This record gives sequence, C-alpha cells and structure tokens, in this order.
Amino acid sequence: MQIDLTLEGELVKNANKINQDRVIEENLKRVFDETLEEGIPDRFKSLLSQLKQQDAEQGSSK
Amino acid sequence: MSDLDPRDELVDHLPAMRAFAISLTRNAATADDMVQDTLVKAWTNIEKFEVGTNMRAWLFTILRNTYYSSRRKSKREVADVDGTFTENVAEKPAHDGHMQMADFRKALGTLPDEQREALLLVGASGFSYEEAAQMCGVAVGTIKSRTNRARAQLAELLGHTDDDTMELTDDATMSVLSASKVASF
Repeated sequence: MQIDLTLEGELVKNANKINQDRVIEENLKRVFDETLEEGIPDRFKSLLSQLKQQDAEQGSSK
Repeated sequence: MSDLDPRDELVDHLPAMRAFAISLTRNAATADDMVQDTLVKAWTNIEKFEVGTNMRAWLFTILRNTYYSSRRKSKREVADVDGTFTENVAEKPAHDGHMQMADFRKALGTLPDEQREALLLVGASGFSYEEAAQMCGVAVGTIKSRTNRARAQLAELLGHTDDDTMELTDDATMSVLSASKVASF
C-alpha cells in the first residue's frame, strides 16, 4: 500500500506538462481560428481576379 | 482540354496564410500586405510549384521569406506589440479556456520570431517537425528545440510553471494519477 512519492511527483510533473502543452495548443488554434473565420477579405478577391485578367490578356497575345 | 491550374487552389489557402501572417507579424495591416506580396509571387512563379507537393507549405515558405527579408530591411521598425492588433483583440471576450486570450496573445508576442514561427507551424498549422524544418531551412532538431523553448516560455509567462501545485481538473491528470497509484500497490 506504500505509494512512492518521488515517482508520483514525477508523474504529476509530467501530467502538468502534458496539460500545459495542450492548453497552449488549444489557444494557438483559437488564435488561428479567429482569423480563419473572417474568410477572405475583398482586397484579395479583387487581387486574384486582377491577376487572372492580366494572364488572360497576355495569354491571348501568345 | 487543359490541366487543372494550381493557381485556382491559391484562394483555398488564403485564410490560413492570413492566420499565420497575423500571428507572425502581430500586425493585421502588415500581415495583409505580406499575404498580398506572397500571393503575387506565387501567382507569377507558379511554375516553380511542384504539382502534387504541399501547396500550403510552399506558400508559407514564401510568406516567411517575405517577412524575414522585410524585417532585415527595416531593422529600425519596432514590432507592433501594443498597437492596432493588440487593441483589436483585447476587446474580444475570453473563452472559457484556462488562459485569457488577450494574455495569451501578449505572451505569444513576446517570443522571438523564430520561436513563435516554429510554434505556429507545428502547434497551430499542423505541419510536421520535418515539414517545418524544411520550410525554415533548419534542422529538425532546431525546430524541436524552438518549439520546446517557446512552450516553456509561454507556460512561464502565463503562470503555468512546473512548480505549480497540481490541479486535478482534467481527466488526463486524473487518469495518470490513478494509474500511478495502482502501479505502486
């Protein structure tokens, strides 16, 4: 029935470390998700269509 | 008729590029300028992209190179730690997580760029250590040590140090503990 306190201390430390890393990971994902949920700003949509148009013009002269 | 144009895929990676850029630069305006540069570079150099390889990794590589070369050029410019970006997010309500998001962002912002980058690539974007190492042009061990140092630093800044008294708040901790008790009988 004797509990090895040193071993338990180590395990607690490890468990805390795992928990800590998980919390950090979750927060990182949240930071990312907030931006992901914003979708695609208009400036990028128009940039892409501009690039596409440029190519179409150059392509037709080839 | 014609093959699929990989350029049609660029748009799918835009939100992730922005998320990475914002966390890397800590400034939404700078980040969007960088994403725009990256997009133009990718579009005009699309023949350099090897079809069948990871396009997101390719784009992130361009993005980070853009960031580091502009950082070199404007060494005098101070990063926007307390500027627009921080203000913007400070108003967002905290989730029910263990840390306040505003505190987390602040702590993240104090990390050296290279450490924050490694953590963002591996921890938030889901790249492997190997992919991240390739993207950053360093050894896998370097990425591992950067992410480890970043995690340790964040934990310290946010008050989750090794010396903390244990909180029996989650199942993982509980199960490890009970397992240890059973094992030591």
